[in-house]
Amino acid sequence: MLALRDIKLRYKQTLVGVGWAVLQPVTGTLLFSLIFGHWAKMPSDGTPYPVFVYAGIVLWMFFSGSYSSASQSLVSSAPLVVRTSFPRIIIPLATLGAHLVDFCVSFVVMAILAYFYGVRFSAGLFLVPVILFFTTLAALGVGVFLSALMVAYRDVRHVIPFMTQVWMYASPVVYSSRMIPEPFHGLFFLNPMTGFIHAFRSALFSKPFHWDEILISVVVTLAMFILGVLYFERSERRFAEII
Amino acid sequence: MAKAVVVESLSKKFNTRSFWKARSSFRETLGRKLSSALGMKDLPRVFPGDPDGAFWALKGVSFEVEKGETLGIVGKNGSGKTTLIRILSGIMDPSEGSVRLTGPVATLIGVGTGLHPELTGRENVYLYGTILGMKKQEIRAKFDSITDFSGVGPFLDFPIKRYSSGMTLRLAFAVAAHVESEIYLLDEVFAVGDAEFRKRCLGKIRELSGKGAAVLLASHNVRLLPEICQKGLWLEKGRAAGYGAISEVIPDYLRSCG
Repeated sequence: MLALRDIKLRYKQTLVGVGWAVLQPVTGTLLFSLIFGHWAKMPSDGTPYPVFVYAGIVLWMFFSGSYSSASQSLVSSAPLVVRTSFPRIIIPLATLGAHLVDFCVSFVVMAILAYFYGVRFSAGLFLVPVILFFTTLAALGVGVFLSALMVAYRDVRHVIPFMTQVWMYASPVVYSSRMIPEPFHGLFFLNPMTGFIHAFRSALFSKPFHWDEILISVVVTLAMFILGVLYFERSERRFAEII
Repeated sequence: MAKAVVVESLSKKFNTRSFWKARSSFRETLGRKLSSALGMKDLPRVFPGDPDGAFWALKGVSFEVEKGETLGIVGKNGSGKTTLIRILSGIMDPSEGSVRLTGPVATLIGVGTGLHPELTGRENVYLYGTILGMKKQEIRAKFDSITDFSGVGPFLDFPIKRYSSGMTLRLAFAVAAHVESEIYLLDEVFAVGDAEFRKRCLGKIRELSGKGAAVLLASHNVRLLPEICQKGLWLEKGRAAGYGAISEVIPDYLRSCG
């Protein structure tokens, strides 16, 4: 019900409505295609650069949007936290719905874009929901942890945009992982988004899957999710007092 | 009679300074340096409570409520009424003492928390009902009864930011009154609303306790409480200053107010 509220509210009293869900990744794609694709001639693993980068942006925006909303959710629902007693974890979880809707809308646009560039989706498409599921878990792990942390430390609010920017450039959103020098590979592949963005592109553009890096991403994600939820549950009892 | 709520020597301590003292010393030092640089006097900050920063919002409060009984809680602002309701509803943990509840609890602290101004009355009935713990089918089944009770009628599909404050409150109370529970914790639910609606609320509370529910009602409305409560609890600085028949507690409380 809370999730439904967020979905309904997201584009209330706006002119363009759900178009905003598309406009953001499309603008990003235009900019990155121009700067990195056209001027810097970055490699994109055999897929036209705009399609390559759009896929990265769509998954990345779902991930970062989900964890930022979840992080802010508790503090922005402070009246709910001090006056009602339903399980608090519902509050960050509920923020997810709106981002799933956005993802679906921008995914449809991606199909159109890919068609336009002559890229045909492959049978790997079936794996997209699985990839989305694990990306969601990763976002929830981060979001649930940060939401609980923000109850005590409002610094988190200022850290999120900064963290999102750094994390995005640490993930292969706008560039191909072939550009990462060997010594950094350990750190690079520990970032679960590396594996998921790769897998997402492989699924769409019928490229081979790298199961080893997907496995690492899944393990890191599960760890992040469990730790995030554990931290949340541990600090939950004190939310009403310090929020 | 069966007991619905048993509270024994309940206490709640808040730390009024330790939280920031322990964690934000950097910021405080910076603030002090700045104010002395600007030639401002470093005024000592004022904290409630004892020198350790311990503030007892509740201290050794005990009482019982039986099924079908209504307890009125009175006290000045800051006497601990809301803290007591919060602990009973599980929003906060007690520092000392124990709370025993024998059934499901419905809590209403300040009617209307969780309503969203942009959503319509209809959407808010579902949203608010869910927040108060109702299932979707349950709300659907009671929907007509809820809207009848609220008297919002023709405005049901308007966003509630267009409602008057009284209308919003009526809608919220109407939803809350349809939550099925055995124990009701109500905090300042009569703050707004006209006389007619208040009368309807009283009728609803009587109906609930007639069905065997225990009702705890914190309010400043000392004229209204004796009409529906059998027992009264008077809190004064977190301690129970009076507890017993409502007809005795209220006059005592009023005398203390002068």
